[in-house]
Amino acid sequence: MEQSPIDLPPVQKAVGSPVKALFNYEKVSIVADEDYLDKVKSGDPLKLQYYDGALRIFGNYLGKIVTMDGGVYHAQEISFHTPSEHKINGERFPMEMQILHVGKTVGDTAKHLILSFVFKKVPGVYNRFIDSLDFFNLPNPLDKYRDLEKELFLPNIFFTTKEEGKLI
Amino acid sequence: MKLIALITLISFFCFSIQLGKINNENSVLFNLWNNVPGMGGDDAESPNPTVSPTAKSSFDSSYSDTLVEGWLTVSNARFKDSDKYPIFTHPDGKAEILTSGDYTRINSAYKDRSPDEVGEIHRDEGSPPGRSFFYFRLNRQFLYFSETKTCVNVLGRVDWKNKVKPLSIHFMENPKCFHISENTGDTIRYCGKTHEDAKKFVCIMQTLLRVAQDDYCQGRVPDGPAIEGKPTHPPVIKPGQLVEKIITQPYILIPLAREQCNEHWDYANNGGDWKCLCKEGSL
Repeated sequence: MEQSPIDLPPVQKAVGSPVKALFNYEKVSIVADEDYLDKVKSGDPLKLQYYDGALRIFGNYLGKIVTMDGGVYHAQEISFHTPSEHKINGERFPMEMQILHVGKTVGDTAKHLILSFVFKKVPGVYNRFIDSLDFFNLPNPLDKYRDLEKELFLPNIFFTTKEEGKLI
Repeated sequence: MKLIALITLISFFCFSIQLGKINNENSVLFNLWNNVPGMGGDDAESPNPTVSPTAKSSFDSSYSDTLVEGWLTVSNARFKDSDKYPIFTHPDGKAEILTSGDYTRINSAYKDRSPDEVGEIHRDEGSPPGRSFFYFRLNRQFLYFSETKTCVNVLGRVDWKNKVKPLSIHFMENPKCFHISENTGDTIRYCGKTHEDAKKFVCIMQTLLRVAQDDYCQGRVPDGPAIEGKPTHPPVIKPGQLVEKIITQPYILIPLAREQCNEHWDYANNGGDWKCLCKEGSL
């Protein structure tokens, strides 16, 4: 087993399996309902923040994964890496979004599980999840915090809109 | 030790147009021929398309069974696009794709012969019947062609399964010809000697693509795996024929969450059931 980040083989070499982990992501309110370490206070808005060299969103519960052996992992951090950390078939992508899950069940508490998405740049195509983060007004090393204005819904990452060019 | 499990999903949120030299007509696909039965075999004399009557039970070999074969012409305006089909220079001169005025590819293996005393033209077995005809074969993965029936050099192919997936097939105004529109942006015209020649290809390709087809095609394709492993249309069942079907019920596994550390814990046991090490990751 290699340590991440790695160069993944092409999709064609993936071995399909009908057995899958259970993914459960619901809408996350922009107001935190629980504390999370010293990063999020209950009642405060969730933030997109510049932290440790990357843009991140922290929350006590942003969704969960149940692995096939019953291990429960809660999503507690979303981070964006440009360019991507992982490669696929030698290709590095413009951006990677990692959802860090932390083990909660007995025997899994020291384990992490990362669900990772890589992005391609395509003119005129907008991702619904990325759009909800107001990507035109990002935090930076000097101004590190931006309150989220729209509730988080991670499955939106699978939806895109395409805008055709207009003649003005 | 910190264990990081990684699950990576690829989200290609795009309608990216993949142009380029995906389908190099000059390529030689020797591996393709390893699985093609009947090369220059017993049916070598038949000039018309023939339908293979058998389908093997093996998954992989089923893809390589030739479903239909015959002589067709192929026309594509991009044959003259040197970006896609570059001109090669070698010691014997330049090698390029020869076309006629309407971009129909010319078969350099064609040799015109004079009629004999009885007025018949004799050609080598398997040689093209006209200067624009190539020998096409269709299996469940490729439509591919070569200069002659016995030639092992594959000049071009349409890949049903992978990169060059045809989007649509339809007849043109000329009933001997049909179009294949590929997702590379190319629209290629194929013509048979007769409407029947072309129709045999079209019907089976429509079946493989699982698009609407006419009654003529019913029962043309042996039952078996088609594109992406999905079965083609049901085989024709004769009245009174006993059909045995094996149905395997699927198992659906839904993971059940294990107990979480100190879940629902309270003081009922005066702290006796508190798992101190659990939160530290020692269990």
